[in-house]
This record gives sequence, structure tokens and C-alpha cells, in this order.
Amino acid sequence: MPLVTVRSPDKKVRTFLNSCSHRGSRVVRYPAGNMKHMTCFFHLWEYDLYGNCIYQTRDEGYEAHGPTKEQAGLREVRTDTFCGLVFMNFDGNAVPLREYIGETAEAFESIFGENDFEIIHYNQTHMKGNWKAWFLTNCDFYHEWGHQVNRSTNLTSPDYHDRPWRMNPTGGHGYTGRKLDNEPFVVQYKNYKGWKNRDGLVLKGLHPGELVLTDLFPNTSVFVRTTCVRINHATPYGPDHTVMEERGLGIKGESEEDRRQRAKEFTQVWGPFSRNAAEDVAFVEESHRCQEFGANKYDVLSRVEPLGDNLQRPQSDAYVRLFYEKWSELMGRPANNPKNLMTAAE
Amino acid sequence: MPISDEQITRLIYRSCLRLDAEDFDAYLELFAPEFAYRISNYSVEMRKDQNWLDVNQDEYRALLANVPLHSKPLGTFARHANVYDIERNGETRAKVTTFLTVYYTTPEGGTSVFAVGKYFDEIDITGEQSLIVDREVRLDTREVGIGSILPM
Repeated sequence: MPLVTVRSPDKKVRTFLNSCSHRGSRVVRYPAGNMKHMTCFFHLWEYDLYGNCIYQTRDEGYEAHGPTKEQAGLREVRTDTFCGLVFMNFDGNAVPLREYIGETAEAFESIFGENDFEIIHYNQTHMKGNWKAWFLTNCDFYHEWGHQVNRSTNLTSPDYHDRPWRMNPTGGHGYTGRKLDNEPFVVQYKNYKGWKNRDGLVLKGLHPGELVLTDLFPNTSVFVRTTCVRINHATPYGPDHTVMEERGLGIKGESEEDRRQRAKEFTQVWGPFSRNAAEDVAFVEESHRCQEFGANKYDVLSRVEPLGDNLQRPQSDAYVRLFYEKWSELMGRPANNPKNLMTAAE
Repeated sequence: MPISDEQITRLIYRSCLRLDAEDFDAYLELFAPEFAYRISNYSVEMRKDQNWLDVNQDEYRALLANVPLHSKPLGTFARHANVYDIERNGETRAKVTTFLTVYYTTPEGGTSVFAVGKYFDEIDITGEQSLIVDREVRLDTREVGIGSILPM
């Protein structure tokens, strides 16, 4: 679905279907920029940054049958912001964003509140696989065994398993951060040959080496790795075609040297030439090969690793199960039998 | 005897062949003891330059040594280079611009273009052999599919 997000003159962020009301050409055809109004290049219809149609070429031709300019605005998509992040929802009846995120926000709200971020990295990847499979790579710490980086820097830590999943059943979100004693989990980057521990440029509110992950249902993950933040977002283009976007955040206005160092540390782990993210894409595409033709009809999501009462350790599948429970609730069909239920409904 | 343009050109082509062959030790022999390596592009989304890989000589050597520990693509990369320009800066350095196309061939034999860009190299021409002291792989392609833990 082509969308365009703008900051209107009243400073509010708005999103519109990026489709001219006349013949459906994209009104804005460039990924980013500045403009006072949006002009369709096809027949030069023009829209303001509130989505109103403000110009129709030779508009007298519409006097007989319309549409008038007042009838030809862009369709607005519900948009809200939280911590400087822009969220969109096609469901006009959805609960307010802050209520939707709920208590899960606490994991990154303080970090975003204390640091003034800007984007320092962007890439997108088209992959052969389902969007849920990608998102769940960000929810499944058990898959860290597949990464050399995680095997050497995370899994060697004796307290790796002492961080609980803190889950929000209402929204379907979850996060892992501090341990039960509120001490940080510290990644030992120096254990990967050629890397150093992240002791400098530490983001405010974090300890050196600290790692925090927040998963926002259904498709957005916020990773914080001491010096930089990764916003990871999966968009379904089809059942077996996913576009994954990675945005890296650094500190606004800092020196070019510091910005470069943060970007460097971001791309050690994330981005298309990193040591981790390319492996993650391979995991999803390989699984898809077997799922596509029914060789693998079911994933095993049964891991249970209790951490005290009512909490689960990071390599439990508890959050993955919560994700599918929420998916089933919203889709009105069980995740373990979605097609049969569709047939029954028809 | 001064390093010739032909020797500089051969250096660039050898860097491609040795990296294609994943003969990392031989590949690194083409670099000076101290060097820098980057994969960069211009992000239309950010409207700024960005580095997707940014390493010094020690980090790059470690990166290549670590490759066998990772899940690397099962297919192979082939780099097609064409040296466009060699600009000498006195008798010590030469700047070389090379057009680069990288192809990826799957284990099943299908081939596709992985990325298009340029090498911007700074070459040390003071010794008997020319050596790379700085390589920027400047990509036009920004959608590189599965990505790669191998450099370009």
C-alpha cells in the first residue's frame, strides 16, 4: 500500500494513501524530501499537506459531474507518534497508540527520553518469506545459537539466561532488558575476534555493553545495543514476500567522528554486510523453502524455561506463543489451523 | 622503476579474483600494512552518505578470519571490474576509479546481479609492488537481498 507521511503546517504528522484521487498515480514518488504541497506528475492535480486537493487542472471540466476539489482529497490513514517514532494503523477503531503499547513502553521510553536521536543508517531487504517469520527472529532468542556473534558474545555470559521476558498479553508485546535484580545484561563484544567492548559513547540511561530488546506487536522491534538503536520493521508484500527495513539511530548533532563510530558499531551486527542480519535473512528464506510446499507444516514453539514465578527466560518460546495467541485473536482463526477455518467460514 | 598503470590495473583485478576465490590470505597481501576499507552508499531515504561496513586493517583481517565461523551464502560471488581512471598524486600515491559489478551464482547455478558500484582506491606506489591503502566500495545498489558477510 503506497503511503506518504508528512509533517503538516500545524506540526502534526499525518499519513495519506499516496495515490492521486484522479487516476491513481503516486503523488509523491521519492522516498524523502521537503515540499510545500504535493503535485501529481500525471495531470498536475495538487494537494496540500493536510491532504486537501487544492488544484485540479482545468477544473471547469468537473463542474457538471464532479468531483469537486472538496471531494477529491487524499485518504488519511490513522497516524500517531510515540518517542519520536511514527506509527500508522489502517484500523480507524483501534485503541489509542499509547494505550496499545501499554507498559511495554517502559523498556525504551526512558532511553528515548534521555537521548536525542537521529537516523544514521537505513536499508531495506526484500526477502522470500512470511513477515511473521521475520518478526519472530526478533522474538526467538533460541535462534541466537545460529549466530557466531551471539555464540561468542552473549551465550558465553553466565547470566545470559537470567533476563525474563516481560510480556504484555493485552497488546501482544514483549521485552527483555534488566535481570530480576535490575542489573543489566552485558554483552561481551571483545569475545568476537576483532571487536572491542562497548565502553564509550554509551547512550544515556544504559550501562556499557547493555542490551535491551522490545517487540511491538505485530511487526516492529526496537533493539538497543549500548551505543546505537535499531528499529526493525517488517512489511508484508504478500504471503511469501516481506520487506524488512532497518533504521539505525545515533545522537543528533554529535561530531562526525562519533556518528561514524556509532554507525560502525551498528553495522557490526546489523545491516546487509553485518555479521548477524544477513544470517537472519538466510534463516527466514531457508525455512520458507520448506514451508512453501508443505514440507514443514508446523513450527515447534514448545520451549518452556521458567525464571521464578510467572516469568520465562529469554530462550523460552513464551513470547512467540503470545504473538500467535494475539494473531489468532485478531484474525479470528487459530494460528495452528488458519486455512481450514477459512474454508469453514466460506 | 616506477609502478606502471598496467601494474596498478593488475592489482585491482587481482583483488577481485582473490576475493572471488575466497583466498583471503592472498587477497590481503595486496593491501598495505595499514589500510582502511568501507562499503558505502548515498541513502536517498536519509539524504546522507552512510557506511555499511567500516573497518581498519586489523578489523578487516579479523573479519575475514571469522568468515568460516559464519553461515555464509552457499553460492559464489564474481566481481567484474573495469578500471576507468588512474590519477597519480606525485610519486607516492595513485587514485584509481574502477567500475564494479558483482554477480551472485546460487548452488543450483542461477546467476543474478548482486550489486553495482565503484571501487575508489588509493594506491601506494612507492615500493616494488603497488598496494591498496584505502578502498571505498561505493554502491549504487542499495537493495542487496540476503546481504553478505563477505566483503565486495
